[in-house]
Amino acid sequence: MSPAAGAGSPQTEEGPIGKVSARLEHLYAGIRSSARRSRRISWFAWGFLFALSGIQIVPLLFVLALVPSISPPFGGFLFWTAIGATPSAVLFALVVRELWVGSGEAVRFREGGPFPASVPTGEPGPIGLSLQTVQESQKRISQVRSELEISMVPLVLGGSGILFFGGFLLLAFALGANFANLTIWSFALAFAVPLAILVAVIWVLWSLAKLWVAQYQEGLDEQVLQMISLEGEFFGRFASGPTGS
Amino acid sequence: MDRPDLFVLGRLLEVLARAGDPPLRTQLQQRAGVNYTMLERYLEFLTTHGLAAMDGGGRLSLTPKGQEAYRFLSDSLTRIFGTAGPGRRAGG
Repeated sequence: MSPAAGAGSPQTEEGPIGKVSARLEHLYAGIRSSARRSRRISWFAWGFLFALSGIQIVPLLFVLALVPSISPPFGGFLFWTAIGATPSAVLFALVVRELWVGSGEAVRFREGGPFPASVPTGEPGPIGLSLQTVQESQKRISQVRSELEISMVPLVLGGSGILFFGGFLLLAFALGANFANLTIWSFALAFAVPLAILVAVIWVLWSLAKLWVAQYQEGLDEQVLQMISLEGEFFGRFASGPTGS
Repeated sequence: MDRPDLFVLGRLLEVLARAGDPPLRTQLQQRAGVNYTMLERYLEFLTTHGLAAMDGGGRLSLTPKGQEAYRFLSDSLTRIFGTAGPGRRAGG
């Protein structure tokens, strides 16, 4: 029997089971919120890559069109590069923010604490609290995990682009810009520094994503196992046969 | 009837356990938040297994076995899921 079709919010004074129900409804609201958040991260991450690919277009267009009429620094290539980079920087910041908030919510769930007010709870359609619902939540969290994994692809690709761009900037400005005198070690250093930064940033983001998913997954896995065990025990003890009273 | 859902069963047991006066079916349905079809199925389960009984006036109450089942279920569900919630923000 599926309770989802018929079970609504109870109108009783709150007993222990009512409290558990409230806790669970809130947890599932958190999981639905995670699903939406991971989708947003996916959009932001691909948007970041798209915006990044356009960085060079903006300064080129403006420099080509406006250099004759605008005085420095507004006509400088770096200035317009910074302008062009703003959308991708904003999108990247949004990815970081969503990952940070999502993992924070997950940790609070695992610790049994309340969710922040940002987690919506008033969605229509009672989900019906059952083992089936817990298992459905497991599936949702697996989807969140997949989306977060896929979102790392544009971040790595975009980060690689920044890596090369940053390397050339280092070569051009920090290391003297005299390419004829640069050794192979200078080139290696110029790309090693941005590479190290990129690896560190991606590692931090990936750790946040893993923390986020793991908090929910471990909790739900435990709950499913314990619910299966409880069902067996309850029905074995109280409903093994018609007894009357 | 398929194996009933423990949460729905728990809600019904809880309403019966905490009711001052034994409720009628409709009162039980309202307080537990289940529809009529579901209520009928679960009442059949509860009475068949000696967890609840109905008196001549159609009022429902828990049997001693039903009270034990309620205590067992509420303790177990609280242990598994905890109750450290956000107060009454949850409302589906």
